Amino acid sequence: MLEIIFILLLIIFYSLVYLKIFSKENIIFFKFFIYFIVYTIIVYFLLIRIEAWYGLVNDLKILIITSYLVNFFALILIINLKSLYSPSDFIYQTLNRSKYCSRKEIIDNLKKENIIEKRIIDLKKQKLIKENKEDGNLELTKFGFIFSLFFYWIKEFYNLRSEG
Amino acid sequence: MMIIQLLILNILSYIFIYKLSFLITSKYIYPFRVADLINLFTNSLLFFIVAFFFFSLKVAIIFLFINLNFFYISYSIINLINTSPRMKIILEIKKNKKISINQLYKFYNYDFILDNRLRRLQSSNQIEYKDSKISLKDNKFNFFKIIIFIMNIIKKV
Repeated sequence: MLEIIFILLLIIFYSLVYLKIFSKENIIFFKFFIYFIVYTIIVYFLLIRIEAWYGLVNDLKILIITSYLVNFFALILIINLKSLYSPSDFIYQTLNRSKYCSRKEIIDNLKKENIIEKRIIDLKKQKLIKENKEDGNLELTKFGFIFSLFFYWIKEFYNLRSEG
Repeated sequence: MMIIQLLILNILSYIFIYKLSFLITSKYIYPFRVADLINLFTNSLLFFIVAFFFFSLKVAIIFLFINLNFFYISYSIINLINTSPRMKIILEIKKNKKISINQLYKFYNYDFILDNRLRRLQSSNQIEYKDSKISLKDNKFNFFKIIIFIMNIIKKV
């Protein structure tokens, strides 16, 4: 139980420090990941000096490291919610303002918030897509291609639909 | 049996029981899919018992923790693929290799975004239509409200 609390504290500490110091507004996930690797290496070298860690059997160490990494990936997905307000959020806000509202009111609100345009800009900042200088078309970067392959594989394997 | 073998087995089981659960049902208990819940309970229970039987309570609890994380990761990834506008844009670009912004707007525009969300919210009983007007349902537990509330708390952290 103590191991789990320790993992949670390490991950929460990292995310709070990163969000408060390095990335107050826009989160660049690649940077978030690279800083996490550096943080993990530092934590590991501090940890191997502690006797409690030194005394653990190797299998248990691997299990704890796995929990730490898995918990980090769960955290990335939580932090993803921070990056941009979702369209559902704007729909909720419109519905919440007046008891009944029309489709047009919601659409106008979504357009006012530039939902699609903001996402294209964010994807460019994350270096997942780029604009071709010759024809102005959008295309994936190398990193974006690898990223898309992972999700494409999951989508095909579980036979999912990407509705957006 | 070693812990690492059990861990690999757990990962593989999570992937394949998920696939099986998707084949069995596509129903929702909003905000979760039934497949998510089947997978969570099957794997958590199975690997908790096996880890407890072969190793110790401590190892069993860590396995439970890992499975809870797997649940959140898989739930979020499937949601991302299903509903995220950014993922839709990325996957459309991947499919077409190159795409102009005007082409993108032809099949991914504000009407499309709204229709998808309204359909999902209506099928999960979170909104209602009256004379072509839309409103939030006055459910005792409107999960749509709860989810937006949680998301707003996360944004403020």
